[in-house]
Amino acid sequence: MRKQNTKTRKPLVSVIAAGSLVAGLLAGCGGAKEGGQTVAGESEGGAAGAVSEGNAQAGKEGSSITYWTNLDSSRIAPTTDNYGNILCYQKMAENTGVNVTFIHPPIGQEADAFSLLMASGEYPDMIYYDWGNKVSGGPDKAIEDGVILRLNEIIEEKCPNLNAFLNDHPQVKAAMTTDNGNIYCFPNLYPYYTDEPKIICIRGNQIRKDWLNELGLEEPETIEEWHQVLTAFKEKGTNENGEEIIPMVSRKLSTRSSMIRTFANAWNGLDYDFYVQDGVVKFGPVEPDFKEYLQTMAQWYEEGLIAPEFATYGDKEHDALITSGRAGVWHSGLGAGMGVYISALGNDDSKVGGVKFPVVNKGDIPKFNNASNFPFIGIGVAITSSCQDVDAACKWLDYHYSDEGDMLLNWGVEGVSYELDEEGNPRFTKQVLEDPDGLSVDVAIGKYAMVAQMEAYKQSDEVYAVRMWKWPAQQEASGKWDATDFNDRYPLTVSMTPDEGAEFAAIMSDIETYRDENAIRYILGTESFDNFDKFVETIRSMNIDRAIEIKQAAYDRLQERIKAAEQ
Amino acid sequence: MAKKAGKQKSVTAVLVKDVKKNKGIYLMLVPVVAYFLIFHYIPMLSAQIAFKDFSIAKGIGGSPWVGLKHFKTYFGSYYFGRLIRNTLLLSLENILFGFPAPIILAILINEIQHTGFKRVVQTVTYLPHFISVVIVCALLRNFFAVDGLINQILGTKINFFMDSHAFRPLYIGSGIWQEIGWGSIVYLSAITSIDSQLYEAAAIDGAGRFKRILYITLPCLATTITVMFIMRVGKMMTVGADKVLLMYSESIYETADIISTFVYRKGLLESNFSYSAAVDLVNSVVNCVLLVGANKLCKKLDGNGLW
Repeated sequence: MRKQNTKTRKPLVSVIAAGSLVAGLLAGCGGAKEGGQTVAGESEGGAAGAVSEGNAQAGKEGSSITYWTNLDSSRIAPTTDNYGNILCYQKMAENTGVNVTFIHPPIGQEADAFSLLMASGEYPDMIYYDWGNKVSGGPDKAIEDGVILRLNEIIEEKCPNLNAFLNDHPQVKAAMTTDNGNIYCFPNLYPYYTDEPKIICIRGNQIRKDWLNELGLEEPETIEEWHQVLTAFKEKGTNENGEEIIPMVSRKLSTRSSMIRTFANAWNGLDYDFYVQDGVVKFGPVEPDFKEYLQTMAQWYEEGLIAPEFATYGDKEHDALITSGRAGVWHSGLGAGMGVYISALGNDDSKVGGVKFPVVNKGDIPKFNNASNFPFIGIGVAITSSCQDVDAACKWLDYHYSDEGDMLLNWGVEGVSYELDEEGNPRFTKQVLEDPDGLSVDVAIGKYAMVAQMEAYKQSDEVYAVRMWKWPAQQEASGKWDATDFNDRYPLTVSMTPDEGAEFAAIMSDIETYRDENAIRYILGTESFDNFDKFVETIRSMNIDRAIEIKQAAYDRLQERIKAAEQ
Repeated sequence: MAKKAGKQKSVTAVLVKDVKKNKGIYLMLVPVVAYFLIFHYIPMLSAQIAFKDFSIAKGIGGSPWVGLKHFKTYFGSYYFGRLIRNTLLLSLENILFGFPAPIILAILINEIQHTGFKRVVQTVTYLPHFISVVIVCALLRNFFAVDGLINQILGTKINFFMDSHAFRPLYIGSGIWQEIGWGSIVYLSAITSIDSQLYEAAAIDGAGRFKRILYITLPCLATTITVMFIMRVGKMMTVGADKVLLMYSESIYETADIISTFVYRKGLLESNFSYSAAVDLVNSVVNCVLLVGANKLCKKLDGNGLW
C-alpha cells in the first residue's frame, strides 16, 4: 500500500508547492489590510520606549501616556499612519511636556477592535470613542464596572480650561452628564455652541444640476416633484459617455446615511428609527405613515428609479456610480463627499448641486433627523482605570481646550500652516491651500492639524468653512440644507441606566434586524404589502412599546436636566 | 483508584519505557498536544460565560451566574427556528452536492491515461483552494452582478445577490469549484493504493471501464468515504461565518442568516458575549450528537466507523 503511494506523492508535493507559491501571491493582496493595531515604534503598549518619532524629541523628563483613537481613513491616512507624526501633536508634546503614544485600530474595524480591547481588560490610558451611544450598557456602566473614570471632580480640580467652558455652557454640561450625575469623557465639541455656526448640516441630498438644466426642470421639493425629476432622469437614458443613468443611488438601509432611509423624513418628520414629535418619542416603522413611505420607495424601485443593487453597496460602489457620472441624485457629505464628486466630474461645480430635503406640501420647512445641531453627541476621550498618571492625561487633554491648544488642533502651527491677518483672524498659508505635493486641502491640513475632528476639542466652524466650501456650489448647498427644522431628531446624549440599557439593546437588536430585513424586501417587491399589518404586528410582539417607553423616559430626564441647567 | 493501581502502574511503566525508547518521536508530539491543550481545551473553561451575565470588568470568575437565562432567550427568540433551518439546509445541501463531487473527480482523474494531461487537470483543480475566500467572494460578486458576466451571457438582469433563492446555489457552487481538487487528493491516494491486479483480472473477465469503477474502485474507497463522511457530518452545524458574511446582506437574511453569523453579530458587534456563547454552546452539543449518530449509522450500515 505504502509503496505505491510514494509514487504518486512526488508530483503531488510539487503541485502543492507550486500552489502555495500562487497562494502567497494571492494572499498578498489581502494581507496588507489585516494585521493588528499600528503602534508607533516597535514595541507595544504604554512603554516609554514606544513613543513615536516626533514625541521622542520633546520633553525628555515629561510623562508618557497612551491614547487609543481611530485613524481617519480619508484625510489623515494618506499622509501618515500615526497621529504622533502630525505637527500639532508634536508641538503639543513640547508645550505640555506630556508624551503621548497613539494606538490606532485597523481602519474599518474600529468597532470590532474596541470590543476586543474592552474584552482584554487591559486598557490604554485614554480612549477616544462614542462612549455615549456605542458602549453596551452605556457610560454609567463603564464607570460602574471600573473601565473608565468619573471625571466630574477631576475636571473641576485639574482642568481649568474645560471647567471654565462648561460653566459658560451649562446646557452642554447637562448633556454631558448622565442620569447618575457622571461626566464620562472630555467632549468632542461641534461648533454649534457658538451663536451662529457657519455650517450646521454637513450632509445632504445632491443632484446633477447640469441634467436638471438640460431637461428644463426645477429643483424638486415635494415627493411628487422628486418622482418627476427621477423619472425624467430615467427617460434621459444615458449620460454623456453613453452609459446607463441610474436616477437615484443610495446606501443600504442599515446605514444612517442611506438616501432611501432619510427619505422617510419627508413624511412630516417620520423616521426610519426613533424620533420625537412634540415631546413624544415615536418609532417610525410602527407609525401609520411608514407604509406609504415604503410603498412609494417600492414603486420607485419597480420603475427602475433606484439603483438595483443598492442593498449590497458599500461606500466604494456607491461613490463609484457618482464619480463615473452615472448617478442622478444621492445623499452624501458636504466636504469629503460633494468636494470629491465635483473634482471627479471634471472640477466643474456647475454639475453638482445641493438640493433641499423632501417635504409633503410645497413650501413646508423640511425636517431632517440625520443632522447634528448639538455641540455634544456622546463622543469624546475617556480616561481609563488603567491610567497611572491621571495628572498628565488631564494636563494634556485640558490643554486642548485652551486658546493655544484650540489653535494648534484646528489650525496647526503659526507661521507654518496658518498666519494671522490684520484683524487677528487665522488664515491657512499657501503651503496648506496649495500643497507642494498636490494634496487636496482636507488632506494637506491633516499634516499640521486635527483635520479629522476626532479629538476632544472645540471644533472651529471657520475651519469647516475653509475645508467644505471649496466650491461655490458647496456653500450654496449648505445654505439649502441648513434651512431645515432639526427638532424632531432624537438626541444622542440621553442616558439610560445599565438595566434599561441592557433591556433596550436586547429588544432593539432583534427589531432592527427584522426591520432592515423586511423593509428591504418590501422595497424590492419580494414581500407583498398585503402582509404589511403582520410586519407592524411582529414588531409590536417583539416588545417595541417597552423600548419606546425606555427611550421616552430617558428623553424626559435629559430635558429636565437641561431645563435645570438653564435656570 | 486503589483497585486499579496495579494495572495503572504497569501502564505507566510501559509508557515510560516507550518514551525512553522513542524520545524523538514523543518530542515531535509535544507541539501538537500543546496546541490542542492551549487552543482547544483550556478555552473550553470559558464556555461557562454562557451561564453567566458576563461583564468584562468583573471577568469570567466574577460575573454573576444566571442559570439558563441566555438559553431560554435563544430558544424563545424570533429567529431561533430560522437560524436552525438555514444552518441545517445549507449544510445538508452542501453535503449532498459538495461531498460526492471530489470523489467523482478523483475517479475521473484516475481514468485519464495521458500522464501530462492528468497532472494539468490536477493542478488546475487544486489551485482555487489557495485563493482567499475574500477574493473568491469578490469574484462571485463581479461575475453575478446585475451587469456582470453571467447576466450578460444570459441576456438577463437577475439580481443574484439580493435574491434569497440564489444564495445557497451560489454558496455551494462556488464552494465546490474552490475545494473539489483539494478534496480529491485523499481519494486519489486511496485509489492508487488499490492493487492493480484486481483491475487486470476484471479486464480479463470482460469488465468494462464503468463496471471496474463500480465493482472495484468504489468498494475499495468505501472506508475512506465513510471516514470522510463522518467527519463531514460532525461539522454539519458549524458552517463558517466568514464566507456567508462576505456574501449576505439584509435582503437575503431569509436564507443566508446562519448560527455563526448570528453569533458574530451578537457577540462581536453587540458585545453580548454571554448570549452568543450560549448560542454556540447549543450548536456544539448538536454537533456532538450528530457526530456520534453518524458514526453509529455508518457502523450499522457497513461496519466501518471512526471508533
